[in-house]
Amino acid sequence: MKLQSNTPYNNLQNLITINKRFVFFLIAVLVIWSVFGFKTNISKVTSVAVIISSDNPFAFDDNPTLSVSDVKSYFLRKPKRRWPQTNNIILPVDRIKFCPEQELFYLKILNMNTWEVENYFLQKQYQNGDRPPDRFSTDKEIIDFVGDEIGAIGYVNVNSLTTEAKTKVKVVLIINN
Amino acid sequence: MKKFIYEILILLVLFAVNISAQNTQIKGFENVDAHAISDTTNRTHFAIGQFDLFITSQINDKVSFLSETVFLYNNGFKIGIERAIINYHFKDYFYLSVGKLYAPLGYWNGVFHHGLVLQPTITRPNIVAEGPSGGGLPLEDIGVQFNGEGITKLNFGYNLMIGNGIASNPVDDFNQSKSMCLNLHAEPIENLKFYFSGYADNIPMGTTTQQGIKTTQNINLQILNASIAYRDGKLPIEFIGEYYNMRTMVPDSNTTSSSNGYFLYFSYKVKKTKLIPYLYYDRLIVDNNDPLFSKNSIASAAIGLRYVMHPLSVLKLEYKYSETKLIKYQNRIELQFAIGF
Repeated sequence: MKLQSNTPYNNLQNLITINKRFVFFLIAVLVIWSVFGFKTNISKVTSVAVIISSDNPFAFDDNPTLSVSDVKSYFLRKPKRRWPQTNNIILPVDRIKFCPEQELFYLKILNMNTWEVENYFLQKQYQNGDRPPDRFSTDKEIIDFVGDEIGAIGYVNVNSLTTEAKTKVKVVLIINN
Repeated sequence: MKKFIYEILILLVLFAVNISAQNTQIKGFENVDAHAISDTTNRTHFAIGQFDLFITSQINDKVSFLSETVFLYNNGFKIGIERAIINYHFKDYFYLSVGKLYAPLGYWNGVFHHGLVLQPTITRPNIVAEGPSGGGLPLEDIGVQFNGEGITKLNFGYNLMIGNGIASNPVDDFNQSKSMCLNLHAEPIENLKFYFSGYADNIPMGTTTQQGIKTTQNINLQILNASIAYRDGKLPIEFIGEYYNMRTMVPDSNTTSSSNGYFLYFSYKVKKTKLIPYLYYDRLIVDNNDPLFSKNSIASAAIGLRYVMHPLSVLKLEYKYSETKLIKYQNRIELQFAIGF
């Protein structure tokens, strides 16, 4: 349809008038989705231990400890992507599904919510091809993986640290609720 | 075409078999848009966006790979390899990337591209736009890039790329001089980033640019950029500002030109919701003597609303007003549903 659009305002009026139903449809889709799309996550919190491999030279100290900001920096691989002591790639290890341990770790260490963490690693992967965190369903799987990978850093419930587990991994920080 | 699709599928299956061994990940991005446009005519339409097949692989402790293949419609479906990068990590402050990369010019070009679920707006700012209607920047190049990150407490980083430049195709360079692009950046405060970058290339006579302009003389091109960005921080705001100056010189006639482009983007995350209203202003001023870029100067302003259902599922509604020499003014209302999978 050919229109007389002498001014930008007339032009906009034309757009809205002639395509009223279409424009209304676009706005309605966004509004309805945003109103009905909300979901609240409520969960219990517990205590978690941040762990690294026993083979990581940092773990050779009698009492290896990392600060909250160190753990955040290593887990997010920002700014360093490699362990300073060994130059091995840092491998953050996470839980697949939302759980109290994850909630406490994200809140107290990363100061981020689940979506912010997911978005952060997605952007890193898209920009540079950075490997996203390895994700597991259980603490046992995390302990096994961290024990095997010299560059790994993860978190588990303190109650999951059995005597056998403590031979594979070293605790570098405990987050108490 | 069918044969090519079968080959891609076979490749995907082969990749899938090796996923566990090499930590290979296959992701994809897609978007579906609805447009209502008014300039000399009124029109509405739905459109599918570029289908982006994105693969990363951590091959071993030091070597990683990234590829991005885009299927898009342009008078028939076409396939393009947008990125194919092999990284070798020596240290945090020195690692090497080879292959086809996004030129490390400014901020937007390195962070947002075909995966529109990650991009805060529906369309790219004019200066960093792609294709014939784009701003004319060399957005991609093939060559070698030296990188470093996290240097000192100010988090300095650098990217130095030496590539084939504009006068090239994926397997050949049409002149002997190489393009050079340097990006220096710092993050002195968490999530607040500063970028300074520059690009230089010699373009021989007879080269066709991405805007479809065929050069009639040898041209020296220099681009300078300064950018600032604050995103994903604890404050509920985000902003991005970028400025580009593109200078050309024709040695034979000793004529020069200077074109400029800039944009400002600002958003505010509404507390306890998934809604992010945003606005941006975008300007491209092309010198009349510029032999390389489109002669179409443009000014645009937009206001939009982003609804983040999930980091991989975003709905955007945007109203954009543009003024150009060619079409005078244009109003657009667009809705985009962008996903990653």
